[in-house]
Amino acid sequence: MNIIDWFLDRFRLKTVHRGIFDRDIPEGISYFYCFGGIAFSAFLFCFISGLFLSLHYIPSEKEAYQSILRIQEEVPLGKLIRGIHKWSANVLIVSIIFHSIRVFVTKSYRPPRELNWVVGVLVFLIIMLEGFTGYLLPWDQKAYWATVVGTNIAGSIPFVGETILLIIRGNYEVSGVTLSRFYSFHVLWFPSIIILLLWAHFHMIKKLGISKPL
Amino acid sequence: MSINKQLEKINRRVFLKKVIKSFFLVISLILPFIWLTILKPKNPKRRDFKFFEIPKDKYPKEGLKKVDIKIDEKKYFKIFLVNRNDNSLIALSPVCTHLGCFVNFNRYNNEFICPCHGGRYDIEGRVITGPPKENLQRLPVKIENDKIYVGLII
Amino acid sequence: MKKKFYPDYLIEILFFAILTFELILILTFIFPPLIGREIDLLVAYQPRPEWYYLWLFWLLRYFSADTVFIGGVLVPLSIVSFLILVPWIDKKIGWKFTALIAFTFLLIFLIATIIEAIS
Repeated sequence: MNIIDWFLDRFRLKTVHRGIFDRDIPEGISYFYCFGGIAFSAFLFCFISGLFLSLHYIPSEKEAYQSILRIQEEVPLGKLIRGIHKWSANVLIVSIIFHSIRVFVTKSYRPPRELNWVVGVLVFLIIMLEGFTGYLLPWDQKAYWATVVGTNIAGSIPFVGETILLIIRGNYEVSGVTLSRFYSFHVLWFPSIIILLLWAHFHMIKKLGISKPL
Repeated sequence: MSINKQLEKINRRVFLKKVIKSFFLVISLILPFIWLTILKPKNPKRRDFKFFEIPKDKYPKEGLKKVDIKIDEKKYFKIFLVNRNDNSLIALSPVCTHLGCFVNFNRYNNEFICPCHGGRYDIEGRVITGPPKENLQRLPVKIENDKIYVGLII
Repeated sequence: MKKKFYPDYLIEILFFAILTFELILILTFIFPPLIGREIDLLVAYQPRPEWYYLWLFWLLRYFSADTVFIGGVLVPLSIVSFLILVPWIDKKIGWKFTALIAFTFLLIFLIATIIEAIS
């Protein structure tokens, strides 16, 4: 027994009742079914490039902009990794949109897969929030004003608006407090929620199988 | 084992299950509450007017002048000083009342235009058209010892 | 022979993953990331959101200051709740009408994005 077999066996990846690899795939899956996979790989690229970026980024009012400049100009491969992070985020959103169109057109959300659809919508929502929180992190003009406008929208809700604004910004103005909490959301809260939800998503796909094509 | 004892055991089970369920229910109710409490600042700095001096040469003879006010070492803030025809001075905040972008002054039309969603104000900061409803905020102007001070919310 | 997830399907997924990565690399080299200027409270600045928020930005033009929350909060929330409820709406009114609503949303999204992008 070689070491890979030993690992797969001890990890119980090879037992029949638990194997994620031993699923049947229904006949007639077209290439329109690939967008979910593309979205997941784009998420992974985002995740990994984000891990690298976080090694050099400093989420503070004074240092944030300087550290982004350093990533752009001094850090080896920094610009490339930043580009990958940005573009994989864009590809992620485009492919999620196509994935959900595909799921809608093939009516795959119908019972028993309603919950999986709901989980997918939640993932999409949180990815959008990731886009919003990530926009502030460079702490440049564009980031600052976009966040001012974006949070002012939440602040415009009657009666509870000001409280919500304070909860989002941590202050009356967009400031260093806002930056550090957006950073926390962007790199800790939202990714962990996304990973949990994606686990649920894949778990349900595994248990329910891919829906039969029309 | 007597039937009574068995029944007792089943009841115990039911009770334990209920305890476990309510434990998780309570935790899941408390967590969002903690989350919000942590996020909401305890004593957010109340916005208050702080007065800054305006240099003499920035004083508009007529019409409007954009004035940059130094707040600290690196931070500047711009305001608009408007000299009305009756020689009274008003200071206008550049913050658009729609969603908080900074407005520009257009010299050809004598209007403020917000670049974000196209709100327009006249030279005294009153809304002409566009999404904003409220006029541009007027900042308090103080004149002491022949010097002009403008109050800013920082 | 029936297709199995491993290896028949996984190899296709991997192929697409690599293709995606290449696409991302090409995009990165053609459009490298930029960094704006430092925060400056002196100049008026027109912030523009990423393309996937442009439709919201466009929508806000039509809501005056005291109704901003309708366009900025209620409309997105109702779209999200529509999306979440799609399986049950489908059950109630049938696929065709659900598709009609969804298609309208998509069309508005596309048109608004394009209008806002070129303006």
